[in-house]
Amino acid sequence: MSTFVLKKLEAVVGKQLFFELVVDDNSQFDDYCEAIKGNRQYYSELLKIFTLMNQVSQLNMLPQTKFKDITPNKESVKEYEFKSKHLRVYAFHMEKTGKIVAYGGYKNTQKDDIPKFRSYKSRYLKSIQK
Amino acid sequence: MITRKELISSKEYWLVKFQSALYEQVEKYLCENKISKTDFSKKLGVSKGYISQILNGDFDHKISKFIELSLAIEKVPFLKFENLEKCVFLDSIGALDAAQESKISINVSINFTKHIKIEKQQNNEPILLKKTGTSFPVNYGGVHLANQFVGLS
Repeated sequence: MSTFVLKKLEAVVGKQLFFELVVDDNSQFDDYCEAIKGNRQYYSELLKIFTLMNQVSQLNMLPQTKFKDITPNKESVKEYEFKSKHLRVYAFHMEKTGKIVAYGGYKNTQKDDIPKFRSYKSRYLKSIQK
Repeated sequence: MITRKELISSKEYWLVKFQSALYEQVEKYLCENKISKTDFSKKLGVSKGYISQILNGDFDHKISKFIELSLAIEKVPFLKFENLEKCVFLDSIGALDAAQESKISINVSINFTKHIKIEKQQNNEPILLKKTGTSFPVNYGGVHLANQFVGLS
């Protein structure tokens, strides 16, 4: 049985809170950020994505090319994608909590990344129902 | 993980904020005035793709074009330069956005226990923070721009 912890993203400040999802003491998003720091281009894009998160947190408008609702039909918990040229970061929204960043991926792996993100989300939702 | 200071000190943060603000202004203007992208591009004498680029939040063109664009949406851009260290400090107390928009005035004073007393004029609730080794203007962001600096050491 996995344990889930929400860790506040210190770099995102605004009206809406942002968290990273930590599963069994491991955060995929944290590992992703650390891995990206070695790549200058991707690191620059990651900083842009964090700025987009700040814009969302401050309830500012963003174009769909940067921040997109990717919630499937009939799904009640909203899903969002933050986009840069090569990077994709996936989050879902919990009422009274805020946005939970669950997965970081790449443009060219999004077909594999989105199901992994949804799996994290679904496991987390099950864990809080118990 | 990216830290707040790392983010605020990056060029990407200020670029995306700038692009997003421009996107929001143009989007609002087109929506409120019911102007199509095609008509707006004709008004500016640029291609429709150029307008789409702005509406995709990717504006990264000449300063002259930026000013032209601002005037086309009946706005004037204000430019203000601030010390980076001061911005990082203001952000750490949650006052950066308000200071940028000049919504509040912040008074900074120190006592001998090296605490900074910050008073937000909006609600007059003082906040006490520990901070040493930096200089800040006594009044910042509001109407009263006193020409004094407080040295902390």
